[in-house]
Amino acid sequence: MQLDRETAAACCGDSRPARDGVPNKLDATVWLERHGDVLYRFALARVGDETQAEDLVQETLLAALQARARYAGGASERTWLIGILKHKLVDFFRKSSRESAEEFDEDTALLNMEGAFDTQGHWQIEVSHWAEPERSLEQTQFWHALAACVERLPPRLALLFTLREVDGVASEELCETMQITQNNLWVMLSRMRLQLRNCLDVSWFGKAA
Amino acid sequence: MKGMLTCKDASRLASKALDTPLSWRERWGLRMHLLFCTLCRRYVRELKFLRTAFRRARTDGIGVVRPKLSEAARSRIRQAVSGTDQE
Repeated sequence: MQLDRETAAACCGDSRPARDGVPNKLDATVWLERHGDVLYRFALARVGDETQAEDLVQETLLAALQARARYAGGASERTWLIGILKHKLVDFFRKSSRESAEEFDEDTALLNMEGAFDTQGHWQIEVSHWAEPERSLEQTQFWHALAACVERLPPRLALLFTLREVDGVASEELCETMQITQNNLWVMLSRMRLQLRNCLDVSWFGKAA
Repeated sequence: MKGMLTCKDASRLASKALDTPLSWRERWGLRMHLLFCTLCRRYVRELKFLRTAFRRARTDGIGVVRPKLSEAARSRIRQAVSGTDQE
């Protein structure tokens, strides 16, 4: 299991207060430690290319350094950085004249829900009872099974899911930055949860029973 | 059973409830459906368990999720941002 360095940075943050509003270069490296992965997931979900996503994270942090003096501290640090990334993404898509929203739709169609419900909307699969699921959380193998199920989601949707469920980004913030409607997001998340549930049912709970 | 939600509807609402507060009508519909539907009650419990698991992954820093910035990209960016105010 990898330990997230986000946690380490959050607990022992060595960010020193900036002197007299002078941009402190330490801040950007602390932002990178704390929020780099979240910014990267946002960017990657939108642009679909790792190198371009990394560049966008870098541009975001550099822009944040310059705008640092104007950061009033009202929004959370992460929300503030995501807001800057959002502008970078607008620039990016203006230059490249591509859009990513349709690709989310195409990926969503890949989540095959056929078979979960019959034409009347009744369950067509056995929704089995999971006995004492909480005990699974203490088992290393469970986390491997869960990770394997997440990997089976279409990659960009998996990023969306991770941002929502693991990083805990609010759905409004997620929709705004991803340029999708809330309704669309809820449908995608619902399908992904169903797929993950079915995957775990087979790969973990089926075995454990 | 006219006017009642289908299991498909109920499963969507159960998921939506994890992302936003449901309207009064949605909550009521879901509750009524769950009164009579064992499978959906299980499904709701399982979705809540998934939520718990992913939240745990976050607080304990368990790496169930990729991708993240690679070490190479991380150090490249670190250099770029700390180089900005070096004379």
